[in-house]
Amino acid sequence: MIVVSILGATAVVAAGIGLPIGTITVTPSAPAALSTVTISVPISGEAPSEVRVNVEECNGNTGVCYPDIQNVSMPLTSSSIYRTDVTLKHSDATYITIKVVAKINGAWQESSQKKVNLSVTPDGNNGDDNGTPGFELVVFVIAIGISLILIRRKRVK
Amino acid sequence: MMIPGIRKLRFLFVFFLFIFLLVFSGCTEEKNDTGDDFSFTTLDGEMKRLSDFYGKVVVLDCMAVNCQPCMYQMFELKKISENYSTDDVAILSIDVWVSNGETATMLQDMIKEFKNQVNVTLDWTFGLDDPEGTIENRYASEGVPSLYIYDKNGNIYYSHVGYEDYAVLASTIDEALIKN
Repeated sequence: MIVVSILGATAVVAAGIGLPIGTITVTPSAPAALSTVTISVPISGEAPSEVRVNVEECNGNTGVCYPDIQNVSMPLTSSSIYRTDVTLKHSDATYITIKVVAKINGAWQESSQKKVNLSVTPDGNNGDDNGTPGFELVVFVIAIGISLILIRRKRVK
Repeated sequence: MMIPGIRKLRFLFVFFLFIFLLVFSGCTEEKNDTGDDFSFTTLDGEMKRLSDFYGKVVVLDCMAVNCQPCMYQMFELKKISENYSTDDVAILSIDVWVSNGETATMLQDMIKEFKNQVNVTLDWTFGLDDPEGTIENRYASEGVPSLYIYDKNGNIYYSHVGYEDYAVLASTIDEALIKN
């Protein structure tokens, strides 16, 4: 059964009651953009033949989600715990959504989707383009400076 | 013979003009680009083309089910659907993440859940890209939602990557409607 949680974010596909895929854990809990996160999840019951995680990066300020969703295999690391590291790709992402899929008895089952907000970087931003000119503004200021020097020289003469 | 002062002033004028163009050339919004025709599959399994909607202003919403901003975008598109006649404006929401595993069933369930959870009927054309991601590669390579407004002749009049609110879309649609 597919349940779409519209205001909660997106499609959460679940097998209903008794879902074997447990709660997804992300370390660190508030990772930075471009950092590497460790994702782990417990899966109970029948051992899955394959476990994968989808990591989607979005920018909440511009309201865009990037198409290059990472689909990474999750190996079994300890008793019923599947874990993997994923390196985030987008410097301006403000949150990620994570969904684990597991092939159990030949059928793919999906976890609920977990949203993780990304922390801001030490310089106080997360790489967002705030719409102000950067390179262009520098060129403009330099141009004004040079012009003022030329005008001043002319007046001195 | 040119006076040296005038020469300098002339140089300064040209220099400032160059800098002005350099600074402001990156700030203009692209309009009147020529759009390509493309085909997509509707939820009824019918093949449609953009050119089938020529004669109307078309709002193309390249979206995905697994995209939170795309869900919010639906509410803004609903306002367009309510405020414009289908004779004037056609809305096309096309799931472009088929290459990421999204299916017609997921899209249909999303439409159902809008009705069931928030009592919003998404009453416009929904469709899917092909598995190769032809529309995604052409129109939504930077992310979803990617929005386009075409004039009645099928030329791209407006494009925007990311969520956009009703006011901006409506004023652009109004411009596009007047243009033709």
